[in-house]
Amino acid sequence: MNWQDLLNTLISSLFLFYSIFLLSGYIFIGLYSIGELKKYLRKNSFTNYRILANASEAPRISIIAPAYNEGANIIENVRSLLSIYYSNLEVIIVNDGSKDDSLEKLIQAYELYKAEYFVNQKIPAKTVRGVYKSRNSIYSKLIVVDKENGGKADALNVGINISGHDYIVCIDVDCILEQDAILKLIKPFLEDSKHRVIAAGGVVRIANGCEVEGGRLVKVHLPGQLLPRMQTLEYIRAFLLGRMAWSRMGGLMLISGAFGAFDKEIVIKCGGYNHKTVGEDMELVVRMRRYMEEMKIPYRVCFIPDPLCWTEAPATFKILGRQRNRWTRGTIETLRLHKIMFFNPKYGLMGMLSYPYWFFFEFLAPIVEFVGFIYFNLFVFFGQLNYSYFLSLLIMVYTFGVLYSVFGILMEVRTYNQYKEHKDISRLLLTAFIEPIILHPFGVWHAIKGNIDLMRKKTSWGEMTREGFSTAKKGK
Amino acid sequence: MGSILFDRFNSFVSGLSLPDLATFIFAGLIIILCLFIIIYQRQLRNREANTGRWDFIADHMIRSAIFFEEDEPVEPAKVFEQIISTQKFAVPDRLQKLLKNSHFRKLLSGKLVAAKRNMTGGASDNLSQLYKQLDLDKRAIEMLDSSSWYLKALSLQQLGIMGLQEYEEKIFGYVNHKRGLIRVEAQNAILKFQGFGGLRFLDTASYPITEWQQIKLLDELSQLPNEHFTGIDVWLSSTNDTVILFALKLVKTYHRFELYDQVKECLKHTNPEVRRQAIWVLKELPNHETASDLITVYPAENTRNQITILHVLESVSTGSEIPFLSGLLDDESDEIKFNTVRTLASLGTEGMEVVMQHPMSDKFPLNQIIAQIKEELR
Repeated sequence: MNWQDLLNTLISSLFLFYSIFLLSGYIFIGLYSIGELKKYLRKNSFTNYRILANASEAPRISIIAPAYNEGANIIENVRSLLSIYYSNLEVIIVNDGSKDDSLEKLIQAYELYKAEYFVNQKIPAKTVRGVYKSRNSIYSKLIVVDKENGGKADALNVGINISGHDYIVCIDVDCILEQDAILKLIKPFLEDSKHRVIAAGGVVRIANGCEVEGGRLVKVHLPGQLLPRMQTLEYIRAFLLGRMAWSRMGGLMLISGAFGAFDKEIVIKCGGYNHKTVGEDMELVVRMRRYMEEMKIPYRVCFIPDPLCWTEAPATFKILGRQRNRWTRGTIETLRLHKIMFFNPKYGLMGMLSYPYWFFFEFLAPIVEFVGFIYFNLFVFFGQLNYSYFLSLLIMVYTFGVLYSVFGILMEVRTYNQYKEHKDISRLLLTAFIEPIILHPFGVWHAIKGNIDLMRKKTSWGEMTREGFSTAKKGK
Repeated sequence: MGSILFDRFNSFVSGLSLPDLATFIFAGLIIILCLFIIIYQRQLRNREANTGRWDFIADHMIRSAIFFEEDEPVEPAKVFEQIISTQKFAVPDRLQKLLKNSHFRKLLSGKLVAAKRNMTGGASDNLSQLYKQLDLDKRAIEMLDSSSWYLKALSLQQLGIMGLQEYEEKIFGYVNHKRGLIRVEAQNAILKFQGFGGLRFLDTASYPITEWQQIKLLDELSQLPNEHFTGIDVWLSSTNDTVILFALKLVKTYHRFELYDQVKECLKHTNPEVRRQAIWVLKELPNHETASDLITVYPAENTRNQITILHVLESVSTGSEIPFLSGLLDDESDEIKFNTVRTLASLGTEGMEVVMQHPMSDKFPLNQIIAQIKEELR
């Protein structure tokens, strides 16, 4: 065996070892999530959420919804938030320097006036231009804040400064919430006496194709378009399997920015959202966990498998590419900011497992995949490698991808079974076979682009155009 | 033949590379899971079709029990073919047969429990009797003796809601169970049987009473006629902090003025959450000493509890606290300043004058705070 053969064998073995390592991780996550899902569903069957909605002892919550150029749907979205059934609630809409008529529309629709308001800058943020309250007592829960444009993280920080309650729920203003979403999300904060629950998140589902009326989800349908349907499958896998397993292990590092609840005191102590990263949702959770580990305070980050929040997924490759690019940059920025935790036993499970997992499986995986694909193709092309071995490896990874998706669908059917129409599950199963050859390579390519953009110091969010549930609308 | 096939299979497998072998296994699993999903969905649809029929039978039986009156002659139900029972309620043959099906039993028990929750008086008693007549209580006891935490909790919930007091002693054995949900359901059941007297489980509670359970217990108690129950003084000095927190909530909810001194003692507790709750409770038990009691502990408190004290002072201040409060206008924390202004404003013109005369009253942040408070008072 010459040195070239030796090198080939070594590199091939490295790729094979990495693949086995990755697949074993997924198998473990898939199986480990089963117990947690079963436990949650059983436990939840004993819960009467009505008690919590009316209880005077229920925690006081501030919903914070940043809005940027949401004029098209802002009135309906706010109405939907105000209709949430919960006594101790305030709804804070932060107009992040919108260029459209969002604020004027809100002033008119909700009879707002500019109130005298002392904003306590617990977290540094851009200047508040005005705080508006309603003259109409029906809207007494509503506070609208007008501020200079500073991005989502900055808008959320202003909302935190304004908030007068103990818990904050940060949501995207265009998300559709389930009627009992807040109750379900806040319950974990009340259930643990041994640990301080610092954050809780729920399942975000794809709303494309669903029937929406007056800001409420009326009927669930599987998206008709292939791209949102593939994302539906991806979300099922990520939320029902991935986050559930991490929650069980106590190593959850991400609460979706679309809908999450936080202990305000800890958020303020950590300095709020970081506006210098495009992955502010993940970065905040990691920073809060890091703070708790450093302070040696027992804590938990919880996850609810109930579908609580429905959001519109990108329907074009162009918009999806921007989203994936941003996710990659956000992940890398967060990992970079908290690199001190990498295999650092001082940070417990977070340092020894969660962080390395994100590093090897979320950050490194697309790079290894991309490099591996080029390497194998080149060596096959130059006749340095057995083509059939490369093909075998590729088919193995493909079948595993399909298997993992099918397992995700099984868990969905056995638990929430949201897609009840006759052909829905068959279409979802079919999507499981297509997704690894369309969405996955697309995601890998945009992850690579995200890495390149980050090296070129690109910090933009990228415009996210949404089609809207009924009429076209623009988002940030 | 068998051995030939085995040999061929063996040689086929041994000729495969590791990725090929894994691919075959994964593909096999895909086929199995897909088939399982399709069969399971079909089963679900069949069950849903049955549920409509089962719903009708169960609802009819429950309705019959709710509207049953003792002097009513027991007649065969028109809808059902045969009556086999000679007991209080006429149980149709079809329902009797369906009771062997665990899915139906679960559905019927669930409906009975839901109906019982919304009923009182004779109708409620009838539902309990029907539950027993159908031997669902015996099934519940079987569940209680099982090893599954879920079945145990379900059983405790059913027995409690159905008010089957004959099982009280058995249920009481679970009030300090290591499994949270079992513990919670047993505690709720005892409360349903004994009313306020059921709170005696707090005497020995060694596990935490979570905030969620406290909310549930308070809700349960709110449905009972108000009575002067004893034991709170003991719970206020419990070694279990969550018992103290719950006892404080009881003092607040039921306005137990006679426990003022015990609540005041809690202001010295080592747990800041207990102290905070005690501060809130004192708001509900005000007397001429409350304000000075709170001012005494103020300097040693953390910021969160100091703010709570200022909130409570808004309600209990008498005016003699103005010198103390005016000193707080120079505090470093803007949040303290804000709440101090609000408390001073609650004391009327005299309090507001102190704020306005402060040398920094026309400078930020005090000017902004004053503007807001003035607008709120308008």
